[in-house]
Amino acid sequence: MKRFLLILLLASSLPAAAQRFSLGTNTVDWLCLGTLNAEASVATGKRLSLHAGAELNPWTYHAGEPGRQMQMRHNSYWSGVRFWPWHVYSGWWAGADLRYSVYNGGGLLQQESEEGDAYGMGLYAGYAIMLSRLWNLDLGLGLWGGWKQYTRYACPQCGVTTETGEKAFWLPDARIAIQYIF
Amino acid sequence: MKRLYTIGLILLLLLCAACGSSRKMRRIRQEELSVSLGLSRGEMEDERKSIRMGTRDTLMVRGDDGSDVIIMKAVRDELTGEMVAADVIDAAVISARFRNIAERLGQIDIRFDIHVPAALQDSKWQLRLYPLLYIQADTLQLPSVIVTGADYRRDQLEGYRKYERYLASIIRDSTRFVDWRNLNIWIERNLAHKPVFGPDEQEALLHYTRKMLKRYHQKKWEDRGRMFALYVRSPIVTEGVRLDTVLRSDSGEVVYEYIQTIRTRPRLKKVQVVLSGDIYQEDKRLYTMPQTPPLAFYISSLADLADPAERYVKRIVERRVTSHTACELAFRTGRWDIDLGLGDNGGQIGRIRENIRQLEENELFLTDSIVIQAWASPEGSMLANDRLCGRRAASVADYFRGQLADSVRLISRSKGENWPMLGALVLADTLLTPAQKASYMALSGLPQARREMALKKETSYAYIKRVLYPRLRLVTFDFYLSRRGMVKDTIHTTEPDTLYRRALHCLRERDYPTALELLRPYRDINTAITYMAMDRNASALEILLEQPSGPQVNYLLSLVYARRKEEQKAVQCFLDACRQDRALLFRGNLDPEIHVLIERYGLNGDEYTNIL
Repeated sequence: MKRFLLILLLASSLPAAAQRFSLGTNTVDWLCLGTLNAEASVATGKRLSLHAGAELNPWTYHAGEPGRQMQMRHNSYWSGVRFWPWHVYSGWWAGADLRYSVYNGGGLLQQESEEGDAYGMGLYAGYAIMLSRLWNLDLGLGLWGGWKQYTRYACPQCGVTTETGEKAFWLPDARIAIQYIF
Repeated sequence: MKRLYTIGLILLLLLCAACGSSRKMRRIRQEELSVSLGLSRGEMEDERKSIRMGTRDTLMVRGDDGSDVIIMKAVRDELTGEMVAADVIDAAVISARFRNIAERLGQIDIRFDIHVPAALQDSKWQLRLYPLLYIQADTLQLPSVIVTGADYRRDQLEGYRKYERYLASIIRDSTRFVDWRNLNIWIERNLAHKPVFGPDEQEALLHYTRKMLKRYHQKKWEDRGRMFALYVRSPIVTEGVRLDTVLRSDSGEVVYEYIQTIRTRPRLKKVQVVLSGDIYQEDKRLYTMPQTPPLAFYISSLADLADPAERYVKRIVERRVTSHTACELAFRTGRWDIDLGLGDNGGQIGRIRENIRQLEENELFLTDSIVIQAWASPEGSMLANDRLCGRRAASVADYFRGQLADSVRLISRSKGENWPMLGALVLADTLLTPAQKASYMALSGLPQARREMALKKETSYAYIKRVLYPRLRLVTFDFYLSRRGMVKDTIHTTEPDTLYRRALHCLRERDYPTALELLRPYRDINTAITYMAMDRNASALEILLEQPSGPQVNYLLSLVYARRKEEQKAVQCFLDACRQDRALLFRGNLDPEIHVLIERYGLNGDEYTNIL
């Protein structure tokens, strides 16, 4: 505790500089069956920032109830770069990232479920609204796609395999993120 | 069904209203209707009032034979032949096309009525009337008169309101285009502390300026002229307009009394006024009215009464004439020969030579002699200076002797030390202190021989010697001339008084202040006329009473008395004047003051024949 207070004291005595870091979370992911997610970034220049983030959804809903079980469990990790035509963390941006995801989902619209690994690349564009000195509302739309190795089951809990294999995929992605800028 | 009837009725009424205007216009075109011009009723009324306002009904004047004659406001009864009391009856219609007006203080007031008949009026129309003044060879456009219908003005004002709303919607304040909220947040994040990345406040300000919005409002501002023309099809004109009146209801004929003051010009006897005009609906001209017949104004001026007789002045011509000039010639110390290369000697000698040449060529004068005198500064002994001056004067005389005819005598004289000029130079000097000047003046009582010694002890001596002494070494030339061919020493002659001639010219040109300035010393009839033209009647009366009696003097006295409301004297003087010169009876009608007297007492009637 004493060490933490000392670091805080040292940090506060350093000359303040422009804000060039961010931490944020995407509310759209939270709405997708409570996916936990976070993203951090650092500005490397006036118009460039590096981003890295992770998602975790460990939840199974109505587990063991035939016909009602649904899940979108997955772990995803990504790392990317954003270009800001005006200035980092302000206004329009365009970005790209590399993603990896382990997933097991199904029972949402139909009883079939799928699990597997997916890896690929995402392309995004959006607009960062400056809410205050410390907070941004980050809006974005994009696609991410690549290659997946999957196994498909007849239902989420029955374990009857209907298909297995590898193939390419494309998925839309939306982003309404709250960011803390510091 | 009932609603249908109502709508139909409204449509029918609108149609009738539209047809009403076009029917009216058809009639105007067929009958070629126009506004008309008439003499000012207001002016006539003023004149009638002043005729009626006479202080007395009867006046006692002296007849030609010295008997007393009673003059009264009366006319002869046509049936009985007796004199009966009369009153001035108001004229119902004024149809005369001319009027006599008087010039006062170099100006005339043109007054006339513009009659706009009811047939030319419509709520949706605007009448634009253009009076034209013909004055000698020039045509002057007088300020217009505008008669605007109520609906026409309402549409004009509505157009202005729309345009004002348009202007109010334009953002001209450039700060209002800036997204201050985002700019402030951005500055707080990036510039409030140690900046890391490039942009500065100016770049940020530019970025957070809403450029499209700015361009949009800029475009609106640039379009304002076009929008004004779109909204305000017929602007309310104020420049070059005498009157813009709005007719609220059909009030029959509209009469506007137009008064225009103009400066008179020399020999201006008559001006004419005509009127033309247009009828407008919105911005379209519906009809151009034919020009009215001219209304004439005949102008009388007191300057016309000026006595044109020349004046002469006596002049004494002397046979002998002298001319004086001086030049500052420089001489080397103790020397008297002329060195043209020394100082400005070349220029000074050249100037004197030119003077001598002009005198030699002069056809009026003959040079008899030239006296050359040389002055010295007080430096050195008085005796030596005196001798030196004599030699210098003789040297200059020798120099010019060769350039003059043998008949011209050259006389050289020594003037010695130039103390008189030194005193004047010391007093006029701006660098010497008052104490130094007083100290110098105290020396002037000393004999000349000791004065320079005493001056040397003064603190100002060095300055006086260096700056003022050189200016004392003068050579003066006095030319003694005589008129060629003149035997007598003096001749008394008369010649035209050019100053008086100029004063008369100014009077005729109506430049009264200059004329008065020049005429004031003469105190004659023309001086009195100038005073009267400037409405300074007391001064004019004083001068007129000094003049020998005559028709002009009596007439002017009558005018002055009339202005001073001394009617009995005015009538007496007018009758005296007419008795001496009958033409003045007609002149009287041209001067408003006399005209009022004539009208008030019927002075142009037959009953005054025995008096006249």
